[in-house]
Amino acid sequence: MRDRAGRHPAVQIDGLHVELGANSVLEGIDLEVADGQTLALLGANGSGKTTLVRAVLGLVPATRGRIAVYGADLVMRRAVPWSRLGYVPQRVNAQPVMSVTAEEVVAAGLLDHRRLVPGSHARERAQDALGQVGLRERSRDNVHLFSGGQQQRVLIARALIRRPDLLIIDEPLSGIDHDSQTALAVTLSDLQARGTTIIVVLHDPGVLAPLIHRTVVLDHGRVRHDDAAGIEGFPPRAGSTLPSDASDDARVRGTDRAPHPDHHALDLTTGRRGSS
Amino acid sequence: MTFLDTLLSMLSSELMQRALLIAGLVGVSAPVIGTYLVQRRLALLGDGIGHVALTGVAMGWLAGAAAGTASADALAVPGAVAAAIIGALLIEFVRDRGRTSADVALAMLFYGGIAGGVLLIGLAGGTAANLTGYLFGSISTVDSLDVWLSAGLAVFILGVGLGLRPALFALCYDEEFARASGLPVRALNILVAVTAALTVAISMRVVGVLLVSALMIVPVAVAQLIAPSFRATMGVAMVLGGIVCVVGLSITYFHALSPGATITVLAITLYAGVAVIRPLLHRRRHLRRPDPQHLQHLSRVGAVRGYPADTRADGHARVASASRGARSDAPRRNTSRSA
Repeated sequence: MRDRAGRHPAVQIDGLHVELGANSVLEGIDLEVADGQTLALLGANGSGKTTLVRAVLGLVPATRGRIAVYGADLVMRRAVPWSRLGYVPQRVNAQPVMSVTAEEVVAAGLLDHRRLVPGSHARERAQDALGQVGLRERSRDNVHLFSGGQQQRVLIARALIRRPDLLIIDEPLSGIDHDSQTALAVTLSDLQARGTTIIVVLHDPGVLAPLIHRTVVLDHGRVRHDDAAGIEGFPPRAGSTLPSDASDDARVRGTDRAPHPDHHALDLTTGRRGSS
Repeated sequence: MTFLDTLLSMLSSELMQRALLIAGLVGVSAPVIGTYLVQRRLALLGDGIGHVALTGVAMGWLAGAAAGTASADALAVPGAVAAAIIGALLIEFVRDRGRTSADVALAMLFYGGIAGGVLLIGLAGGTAANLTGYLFGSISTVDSLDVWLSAGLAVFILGVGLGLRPALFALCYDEEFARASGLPVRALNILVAVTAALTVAISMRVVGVLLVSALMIVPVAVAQLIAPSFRATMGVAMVLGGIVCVVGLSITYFHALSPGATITVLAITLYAGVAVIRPLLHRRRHLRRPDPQHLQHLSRVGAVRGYPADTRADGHARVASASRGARSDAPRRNTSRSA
């Protein structure tokens, strides 16, 4: 369903069923993620949360139901605006077979269904994206020699280089140290300020809790809890103003996208969003 | 006759000129597709395609005999190209389906390919010498048509392998991410399989179907010992592949040796030499200094004690320090944007 401005939701899921082999993993999921929203997908192991995001990314076929990304049905792969999607898997999937630089991994994020070769400024953009996660100086280093937290930041940079409008990030807090977790929180806060829609799969919100607009809890393939009611329609809070740098970001991106109205400057000290 | 005289004699021979040209083309182009296969852990794909290609060679012989061509093996290479492509697509199909019985299906394809090839060549009137030529390489009878065919295939392989390197790297490095990025994964997989098949077909004449995989893989194995990136690995492998092919073939001019075996042993010797020398080259490994950008990134959340606060990006000053789980000794920062 479109919002008041006539925009499609970032993700629209209707009656989604997914079966993997003989197992029914998702059973009738209905979910709408509004543009600019930060949604945490929680649940125990085996609840289906990773399968749900993989289905949204087209990595797992739907047995029944429909998934639309920015209004484009996922069945019509060529119609999906892939360049607007960014995906951060839990860890590097590739085997450490040969040396691969962080720059090479990140530059791969520039590609999509229409672009099989990145533009002439791929290297500069990869270095900029690595700079956003604090790894510019290591852009020529072998990514397989990085720590788990550093590898995850490379994967985030690979998603950021696309300048995604929708970022899907799977279990980002597991297996990384506290400093990396807080660094991740800052990165996501920046993206949120730019109006990026974020779907994050979590076991425990942890340090990301202050960022989350909405929590959906899955249990045995069904939505058991969805606290969307409190923020439905996303009315701007009275007296709130958007962070000025976020507006600047939107202008730099050349879009009309503004931060989600629910976005307020994040203070991780208190875990509160203050009116700036 | 001195060595120099023999060398000049070799280079003035039209046959050797054609053979060296083909060897150079094969040596440079085979490691390109080999780099992708190694990254995907499909190093033996070329071996499997080679087995199937032998059946194509034999069918080319049969077709040539039926058509009454002047040379018995005039249709051998086209037959190998067709069989290699079909075999590669079958292997890709089995791999894509990811069934647990895939390795058994592949084994049947491999053994069926080589057994069918041996049988059919026998039926077509081929000799043991003909068979050995295809199994281990023989370029003593190459003509100008072979050169043009090899050049055409090499141009295609290099065009695909180098021109689409970003997309093929994305595919081979992390297929799931490539799919989630919207890349046409199935089409790219088929392209890799077909290009691998053509690489086998072009290399078959030089090193033979049994050793064709060595030419695709061993130069990459050497390169990955020393190259610092995927791109550099491919580049170094291309150079090494070209060198071992030309040098190996030249050796067979001086000694009556199988070109495929000579080239392969040369490449593996090179691998062993580099593997021995490599630790000596890396002995002076120095500790890396802390990355200032990383420190600055962490300082934005106040996670690094004692790092100057004024280095924080102003736009991020609102983010002061971590709440939950933050180190209790981390310095508190101002939280107000106006601070």
